[in-house]
Amino acid sequence: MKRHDIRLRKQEFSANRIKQYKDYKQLMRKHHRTNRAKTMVQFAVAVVLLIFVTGLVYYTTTSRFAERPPVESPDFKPEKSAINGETGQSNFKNEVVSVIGSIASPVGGLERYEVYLSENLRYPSAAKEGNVAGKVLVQFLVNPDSSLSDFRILQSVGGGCDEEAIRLIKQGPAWVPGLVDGELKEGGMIVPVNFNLKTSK
Amino acid sequence: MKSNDWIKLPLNSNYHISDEQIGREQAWVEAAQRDPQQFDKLYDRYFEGIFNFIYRRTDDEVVAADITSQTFLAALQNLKKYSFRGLPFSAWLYKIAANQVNKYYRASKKNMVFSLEESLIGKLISETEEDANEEKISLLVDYLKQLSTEDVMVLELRFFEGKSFKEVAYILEITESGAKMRTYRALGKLKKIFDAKLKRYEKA
Repeated sequence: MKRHDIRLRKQEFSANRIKQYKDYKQLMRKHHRTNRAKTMVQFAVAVVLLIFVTGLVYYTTTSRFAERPPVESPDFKPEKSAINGETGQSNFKNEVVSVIGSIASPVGGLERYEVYLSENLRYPSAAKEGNVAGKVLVQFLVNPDSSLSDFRILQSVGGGCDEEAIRLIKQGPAWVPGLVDGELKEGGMIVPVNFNLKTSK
Repeated sequence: MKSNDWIKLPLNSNYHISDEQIGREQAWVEAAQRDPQQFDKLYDRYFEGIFNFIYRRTDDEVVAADITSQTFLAALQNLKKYSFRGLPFSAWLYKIAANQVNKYYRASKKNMVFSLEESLIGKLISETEEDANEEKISLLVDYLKQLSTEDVMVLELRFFEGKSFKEVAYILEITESGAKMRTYRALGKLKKIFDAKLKRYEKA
């Protein structure tokens, strides 16, 4: 239980004495000051939120869709690595895509797609002999009709691994095209394919 | 009069205001909600009452002045949220003041000190159909010290601030029946203490 004390006093506080503490002008000044401070805090919070949301939109739209410059490696020339006669020229136009919608995804989901990649990977014999391993980054377009095109190697490991990665994706599960503002739109995807000598067949 | 009838007597209080006054006050509140400059009428009307209320719970003039100022500032800041609930506007101010006092005690970690006027103590004693004298006053003070702080808060609002049970309940955020129960129980026990003392006198 909370403790308290009781003190007695003879007199009520005189009204005149209380009056000296009355100061309506000061109250108004404090009120305006507090209001100003409140407005400033609200403004600051709004600015921080705006920056955060803008950053988030920028991040989600550019990090997945934006074109990345291909990594130069001595035994890899992007123009020449294009398979099936496709040129190295890019059809990737959408640098920034509206966030209302969804991005393209493989049928069955990304997790199962990863399982597919690792289970169906055929390690190229040249790479095996040459002890070549690493991660191949394949970029491609998922078109509105679900077809895949514009394959590019963003990161190459050589030894036939790049070609194997593209084969895996081409022969793999179908892709559901991305939605932008309710419409099916082509969308760029980047898929990493791991070539690991210890775990792969 | 039966022994328990006294607790049902209406309180003769100058603080209770009529419906007409409540209506006029509500017009002032609405004007101040539109334009904070119009808050002056309410400020003038309740400054003294709120100061006295806070002083009775702090026994410190400087602290009371400070908390009173904070109370009116908080009222002004939140005036737009105020909505009329059939209670005088003062009940809302008292509620803010009570919260500000609690905040002060929480921060300072001191025990609450009630500073009560003898004249009003006499009024509380007369509620038990007794005439006030020094001995009874000191008995009452001892009794109030033993009560829980919450009970003293209820009694203080009821008998020193002259609030209706509905207002007491609203200010302390308890139920009206809870406020009544605390008051009746405290007064009943007080009467027993006085009676016992009286009997001892008669025997002597």
